[in-house]
Amino acid sequence: MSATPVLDVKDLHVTVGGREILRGLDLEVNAGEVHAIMGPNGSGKSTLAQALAGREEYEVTAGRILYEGRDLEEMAADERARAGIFLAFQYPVEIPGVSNTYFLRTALNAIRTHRGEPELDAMDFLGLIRERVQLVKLDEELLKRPVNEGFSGGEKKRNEIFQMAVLEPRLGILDETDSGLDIDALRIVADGVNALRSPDRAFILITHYQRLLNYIVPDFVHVLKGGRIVRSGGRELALELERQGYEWLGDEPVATAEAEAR
Amino acid sequence: MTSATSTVAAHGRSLEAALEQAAVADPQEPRFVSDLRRRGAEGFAGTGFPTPRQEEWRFTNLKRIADTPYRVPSSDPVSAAIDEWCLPAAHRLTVVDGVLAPGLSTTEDLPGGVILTGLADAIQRHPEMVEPYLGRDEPFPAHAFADLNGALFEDGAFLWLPPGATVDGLIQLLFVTTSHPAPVAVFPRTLIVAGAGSAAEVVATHAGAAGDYLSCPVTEIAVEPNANLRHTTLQEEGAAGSQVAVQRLLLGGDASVSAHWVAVGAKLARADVQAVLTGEGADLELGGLYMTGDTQHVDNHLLVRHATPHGTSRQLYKGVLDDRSRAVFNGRIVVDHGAQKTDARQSNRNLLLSDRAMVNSNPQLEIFADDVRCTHGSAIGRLDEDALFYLRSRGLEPAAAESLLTYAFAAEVLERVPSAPARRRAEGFLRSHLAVGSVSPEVS
Repeated sequence: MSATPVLDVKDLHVTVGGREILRGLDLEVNAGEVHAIMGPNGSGKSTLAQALAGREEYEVTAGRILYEGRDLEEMAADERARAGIFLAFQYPVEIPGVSNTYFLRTALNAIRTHRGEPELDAMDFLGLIRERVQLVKLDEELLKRPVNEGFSGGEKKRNEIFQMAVLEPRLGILDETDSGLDIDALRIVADGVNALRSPDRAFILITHYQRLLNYIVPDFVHVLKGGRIVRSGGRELALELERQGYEWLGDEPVATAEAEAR
Repeated sequence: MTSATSTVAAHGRSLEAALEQAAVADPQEPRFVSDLRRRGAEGFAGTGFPTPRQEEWRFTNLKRIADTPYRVPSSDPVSAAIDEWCLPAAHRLTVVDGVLAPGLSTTEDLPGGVILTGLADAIQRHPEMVEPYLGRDEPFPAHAFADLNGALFEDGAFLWLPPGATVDGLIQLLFVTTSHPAPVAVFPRTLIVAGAGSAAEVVATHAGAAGDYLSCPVTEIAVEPNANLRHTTLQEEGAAGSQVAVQRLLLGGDASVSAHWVAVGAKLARADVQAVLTGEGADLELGGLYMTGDTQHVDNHLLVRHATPHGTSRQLYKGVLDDRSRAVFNGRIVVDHGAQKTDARQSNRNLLLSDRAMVNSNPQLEIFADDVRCTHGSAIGRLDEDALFYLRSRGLEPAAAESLLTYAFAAEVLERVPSAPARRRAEGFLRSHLAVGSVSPEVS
């Protein structure tokens, strides 16, 4: 007897600008699990992230995504966020004129209201962000500045993890959060994510490189190729990919012991 | 507050009759005023109302104004309910239907030598102060409505800051057009002279009743060397009114001027701001924010002329357009031969909230010096889709995300409005323009 998966994706087909990018993707993520999704450029990794977050240009043409048993198709991006889905962007957006703090408080209160919790006042909120900002060692001064404006690449990525720490999602999707980070920043980001791991929270780590998985150890590794998961395994699969690249894998899905065990 | 509706308007004159009268010198008036009226009447007789065939009026059609039989109300002072437009100002001069309303003005407690009074009063009592500055055609380009105002103004505001004077607290100049049985045309005129080394903060509010009327204010501002003037115009004319305004600024050496223009009112509004930096090292900031809806039409024409070296000027005008409204922006920077080391920048950015809103933006540079820095840029666009998605991906509803981004877009100008009460008022206009008015991005 198992609980409802956090995420249950079946035969997902997604089209962007008339091109089919995802072509029959299956993925099941349960509470407490960390799944890494790896794959060559153009395999559909970011498309999966955007489709899960609800970007309208990403059209689901077949299959389905269930989030906590609900059909995600019926939920707009902001509803998904309020229901606990968080996407850490590969390219966080700069928003001139809107302070980080205000933005985050507005977002948190939207989510809290959805959960039936009272809004946080400015003082309580300040206490919360002072605590959470420690997780990613982000300069507090940056929080007063406009969202991501003038942030370095590493600061933008840490800001994503910081937002996640404040918004406390049920499902965190990290879209190539490791790209462009030096080793120190990568450690900080990984420590932040590890601190957020909990039995009722799940993560999907989308990455091109095995390196991140040295710091955030996944429970499952999936290889995405040609719009489908072609191989699933444990952490050792990532190490194998690191040694051999993606070429040795065919484009057809191969059933693995772990996948069959499900 | 007292309230009364003018009953004399029906007995006012037609524009034609008023112009004929203006061409004839009034022995009661000083010669320089009669000359101004005659030049204005002759100038306007030569051109009439501008038409879209003229380059400067290409996108603003005045046919409706030209076809309306406006009456020029008599100059008897009337009263009006003004509370809704009063800012928490230390000093206020109120002009109703183009004529000073002493009962609605508070001009006491000004520092020694500072004069704040009606323009007609100043012409009578201080002609030697008014004459050098009133109606200076040079170095400004001709303007049909400047002519019209020169011919027909009855009164208005006069602010004189003697050298070195500093006025603490805000001075509000409030221009109100009241309700009349038939459309009226009013021609308030303002003269501000900031003596060398003086400093003041002024907000000019232009407001009016709900009916059709035409307001043609002319504001002349002379800022002597090293003086510092913060000036904000709040254009909140009545929804069926029209405004065609001319503001002319002269900056002496090392003078510092910030002139902002916030426009939300009127069915049709045209504002020409013409500034000439006549002394070395002058610094000018022109800021504008127009927020339009329905079928409003707002046209801003800016001219900044650098006549001397080492001047700096900044123009930042932004528009937020909804529904079927339309905006025109024409910004011209002229750098005279010899005005070396000029640093002039201009930016006009427009945010369209509706598919049917429209903007014509036309920046122009005319540079006759060779060692200058001039930049200009213009943009017309929708809210950034990536930014909207980013906000929504964090839980903000679409309307909240749109309002937040719109607010942030306008805030860049709002933050630079030099007077706090005017800034708060403008912020209120902005909030009422947003779907979700409670946003407040509070960037420090």
